[in-house]
Parts: sequence; structure tokens; C-alpha cells
Amino acid sequence: MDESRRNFVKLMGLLFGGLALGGCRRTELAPGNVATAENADVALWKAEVREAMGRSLPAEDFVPVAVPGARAKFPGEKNRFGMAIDLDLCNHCGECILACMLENNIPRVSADGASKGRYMHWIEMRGGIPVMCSQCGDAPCERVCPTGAAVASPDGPSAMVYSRCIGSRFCAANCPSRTRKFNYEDSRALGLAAKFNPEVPLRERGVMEKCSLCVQRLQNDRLRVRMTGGDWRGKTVQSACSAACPAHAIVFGNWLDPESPLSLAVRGRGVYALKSVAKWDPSVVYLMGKV
Amino acid sequence: MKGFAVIGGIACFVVALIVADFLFTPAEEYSPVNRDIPFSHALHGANIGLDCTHCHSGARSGSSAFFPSKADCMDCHRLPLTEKPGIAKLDSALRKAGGEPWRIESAFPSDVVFHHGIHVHAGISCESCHGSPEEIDRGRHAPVRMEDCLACHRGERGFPKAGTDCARCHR
Repeated sequence: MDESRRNFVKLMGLLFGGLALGGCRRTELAPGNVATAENADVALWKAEVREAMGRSLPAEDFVPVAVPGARAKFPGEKNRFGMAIDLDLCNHCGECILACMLENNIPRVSADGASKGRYMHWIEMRGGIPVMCSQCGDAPCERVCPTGAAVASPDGPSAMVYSRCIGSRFCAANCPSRTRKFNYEDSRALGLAAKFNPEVPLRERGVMEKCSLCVQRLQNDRLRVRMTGGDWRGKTVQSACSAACPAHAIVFGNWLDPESPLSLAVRGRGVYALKSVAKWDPSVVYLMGKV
Repeated sequence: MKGFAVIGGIACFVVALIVADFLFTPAEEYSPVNRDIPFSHALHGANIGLDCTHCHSGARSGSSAFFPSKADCMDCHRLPLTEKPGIAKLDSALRKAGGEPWRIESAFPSDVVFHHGIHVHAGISCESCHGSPEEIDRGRHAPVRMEDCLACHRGERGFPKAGTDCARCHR
């Protein structure tokens, strides 16, 4: 009895010693299978966009809202970025979805994920209308995040700090517009991820993500302007979807800048928002008709 | 007892495999320290009138600070610069060195954006984060952690306050 316990302890000691050494290994045991912009096959991403659009999701309800303005919780803030999607111009082509995927390194999903509708696309066509996170000024998702990974930023986007996210999915459960996407799959290991844009990190399995309002473009432009000592209003920034839209239906801009293309685009137009998030002061609105 | 000998043998073999893997895997090691070239920051600093950006170009205005190539070293080191006996050893080390004797991978997580230039622009010296040249040579300077970033951005380190909202630095 005594002898066998001694042997057992020895064996366990060796085992844990070995595991500890393995843990000290410098290189990853399973290197990620990540394509880059040079060798990724964009046709696969295009095919997935077509596939997702083929689901013909039901249309959302829209209600008229006021033009988004300054937010009480960020007094003195000079910028609030947002978008307006002109539904009179949108031709439902889906170019915005692809542009968004390539800009933000959005991974594809496996056949199993696709059958469950777990596409990672930050923009979805619902009844032919592109729907993404509305970047609510008073976002319900941010209130329930246990780690503060979903957090408001003063200049508009409702930000996601991926390294803080522990994957509770409370935010997705509390998002009225269902625009948050959860990484159910290890897309890197499955070879479904590609780093098209070196500026944007790839997300791990178990991390929530959503439209970031192309925060990397905002950050880069802010740094560029601040280096020259200017007052940053984000005049030259455009989101990837907005830049890619062949019908120029998506307008990106700064709600608090009266000269911004966004402020000009909503002038005299009917301003609507997704009914589900209309009362949370969304920064992304839809334009229909004239008033 | 025989069973234990077999299990013990297998365990030893597995451990040996792991040890071998650990010892012989050619790790992609990016280290700012080149063991062959006895570089001293203290000797290349203010005493010969060079500032950090002379070799670490980009630190003043760009996003990242780069490491010098061998050609940058050779700008000055083509000729023996001093009578010191160590200079022959240095010359031969430099001759043998590759085109990029120093390489480093950013220690920042991939979702963090850090712009060197904007910090220099705000009046923050290299030493504030990287330590003095002597500390860098000794490799003793504590790494900068997120709490250091935040303390400074909150205005607790003697520099002007800066933004502390998450999306300022995380993307």
C-alpha cells in the first residue's frame, strides 16, 4: 500500500512536470491557419455573402426618430459618429456586407454554423435592407456586460474590447436588434479566418463582436489629425460599407458637425430607425422619402 | 511491480519527448538583444549627440519605432572610431551580422493601438516608458502594463490628462 502510493506520487510528479514543461513551450502547439490578403480566396467570402442573403430574413419595422444629437452622458463631446442608410437609393446588392467582412477580417462559418444561421456578418440583409448595430447612445447591451467589454465611447461607437470579453453573451441576449455576433467556432483553427486588413485583430473563439463603425479608421484618422495639432472632427473618415456602396446609399459622418456629409444627407429627409432600438437613441438611422 | 515499471517507462518516454520538443524546437525568437553585438545604449546616447529617433526611426512621428538595420550602424562604424581594444571584436561582430541585426515583435496585444508619435507630441519622453539608457542596457526596466497606461492617461504621472475611454486604444 505504502509502496504503491509512493509510485503514484512519482508518476503524478513526472506527469505534471511534463505538462509544465509543455506549457513553457515558446511556439503555439497548433499554429493558426490564417490566410492573408495575398493568398485568401475572396470568392469564398463572396459565396458566403450570397448564401446568407439567400436566407431572405424578414424585414425589420421602422419608426420615425429625431436626428441623433449630443448625448447627455458625454457633455462637451464634439463628435458623434454614425451612419444614415438611404432606403430610397439602396438596391439591396449586398456589396456592403462583403466590404465589411474584408475590412474587419470577419471569418466565414462552417457548414454546421451556416445551417444554424450563425454567420458572423456584421451587416445582414433583413427584407433586403442592410441592418447592422445601431450604435445606440444608451445601449442596452452595454448595461449587462459583466466585464465592461461592451462599452460606450464618447465619439459614437458602442465599442467592444475583445480582450475583455469572456463570452457571457448577455449583451447579445439584451440587444433588441440582434446584431451582435458570437464566435461559436475557432475560425482560425478551421481555416475560415483571413487577415485581409492588418489593422484589425482577429477575434478568438468565445468572443462577441459586432459592427464597430470601423473604429480603426476613426482611430487612425484621429491620430493623423492630432499629430498635426488640428481639431479632429473626422471629416475624411468613411466606413468600409459606405465607401463600397455602389448606390451611395450609406452615408457616414459626424452628427455633431453641421458640415458633415451625414448632417447634409438627412436634411429634409424622413429619418427612421429600427423600431426595436428606436428608444435607445441609435446613431445609425435610415432615410426614406422627404418631409 | 512490473506494471508500474511499464507505466513509469512510458511516462519517462513521454516526458523525454516533451523535453526534446521544448529543447530542440527552433523557437521564432524576436529579441531586441543581439548576443553577438555588444551594443550599449549608454555609449550611443547624449554623450555623442544622438537621440533615440536617430536609430529608432519613426518614434517621433510614426506609429511604431523601428530598429536600425546594419547599414545604419555602418554609417558610423565603417571606420574604427576609438583606440579601445574592444573595437576589433565589435567590428568583426558587425561584419558577421545580418542585414537586420535586431528584430522585435510588438508586445502589444493585437487589439491595442499605440502611436509613438502622438505620445512624443504630447511631451512624453522615451525614458518615461522605456527607462534610462542604462536601464535598457541592463534589461532591468519593468515592462509597461495597462495600469501604467491608464495611470498616465488619468493624469497621475505628471503629464496632461488623456482619453481613458476604451475605444481610444482598443479596436
